[in-house]
Amino acid sequence: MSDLVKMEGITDLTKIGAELISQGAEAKTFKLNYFGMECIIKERFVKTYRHPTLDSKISNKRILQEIRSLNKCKKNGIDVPGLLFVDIVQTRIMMEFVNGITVKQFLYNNCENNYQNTQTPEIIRICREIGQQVCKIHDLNLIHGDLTTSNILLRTSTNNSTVFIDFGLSYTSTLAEDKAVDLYVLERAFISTHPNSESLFNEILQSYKDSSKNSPSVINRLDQVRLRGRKKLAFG
Amino acid sequence: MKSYDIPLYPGNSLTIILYQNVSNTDEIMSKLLKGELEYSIINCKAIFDHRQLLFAATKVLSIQHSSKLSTHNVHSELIYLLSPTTNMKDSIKKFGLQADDKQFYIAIFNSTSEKLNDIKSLVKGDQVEEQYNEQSKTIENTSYFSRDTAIENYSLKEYKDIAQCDDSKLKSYIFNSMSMKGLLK
Repeated sequence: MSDLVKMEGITDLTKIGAELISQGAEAKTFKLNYFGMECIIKERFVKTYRHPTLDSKISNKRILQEIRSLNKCKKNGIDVPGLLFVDIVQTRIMMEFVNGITVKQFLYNNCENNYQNTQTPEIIRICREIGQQVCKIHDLNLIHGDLTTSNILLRTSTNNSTVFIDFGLSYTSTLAEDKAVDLYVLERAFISTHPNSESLFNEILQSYKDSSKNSPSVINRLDQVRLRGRKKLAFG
Repeated sequence: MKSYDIPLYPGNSLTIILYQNVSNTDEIMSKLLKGELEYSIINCKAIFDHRQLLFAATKVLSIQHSSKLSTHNVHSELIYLLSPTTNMKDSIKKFGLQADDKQFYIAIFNSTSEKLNDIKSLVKGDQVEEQYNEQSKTIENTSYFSRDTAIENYSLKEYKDIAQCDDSKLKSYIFNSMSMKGLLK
């Protein structure tokens, strides 16, 4: 029976019409129309500078963590791309394509350099939604690990509702410390990509505070984290 | 009847046929249990369109490619992979042929005309000519799809907004459950 199917798989996705849309340090992202569905394929590549065993262990761990986090979010009503197909051995994840732009792009398009005077109701609404959704994620004891404005998309078909992507560095934790660090990472990302946008981040924090009973302890922690930076333990 | 090439594993194809008003399910069932049939027979209550089978087929090939199949052959593996659980008996029961089924999908990897003739002579029923949609590049036939069966078979109750979600969301949840098979803690 095993000779019934041919065993050759595609290693270079561009050969079947996939379009490379971004490449990061960890993975390449392709867009592909698979049986009429717009898909994203996220493929982690082998890092030759790492020991092969270590490399496959790290890749495996991250891919599992990513899909488990996506699954957890999906089940609890947080909008994330739906999984279509997972190949652990080839470290490939196929996900639903989200039609929309990143929050980063949206802010660039709408606020030309001055974030203080151009706060439209739409921008405020998006910031509030981000705060609320991040709070929901934290209430699941899930830490995103890489919250930046380019990892949050705005879905065009549902009037710019937020979609969280890239859970590659996510992990589970119940500690207020970890959640505060997650918010701190978002704050740093916000301020460095969008100068003078403190008021927007305050909007996010405010709605984060209003969304859950666990928030005050996290916000308190955030003040401590701000004073010392995100690393609690300093080595050497 | 429709044949699809699987792009990720070139040279392989999956042919899908829908039968209805089948009168000799018992006979097919007995042959199936003896392991004489080289194709999958799939309960169509939880299948909303051909893509669901095609994604499962892609996974069969990827498993065949990189490790070992969990079941005896690619065709039983296809049924097993449609299910979100790793319980084999349960998967076959929910997604395979049942004795009282009058309609079902038949899926064949790399079919040949001989095989198609075999199927034609064995199954006493009407082959449904499904309309291929050029735009969505698939066949969506929901006449036998049952939302309740899908929710039960894919344990979609775990999704918070399942009660009020629309069809496209339901489909995305089904794909989500399928791809998480065996990967949860």
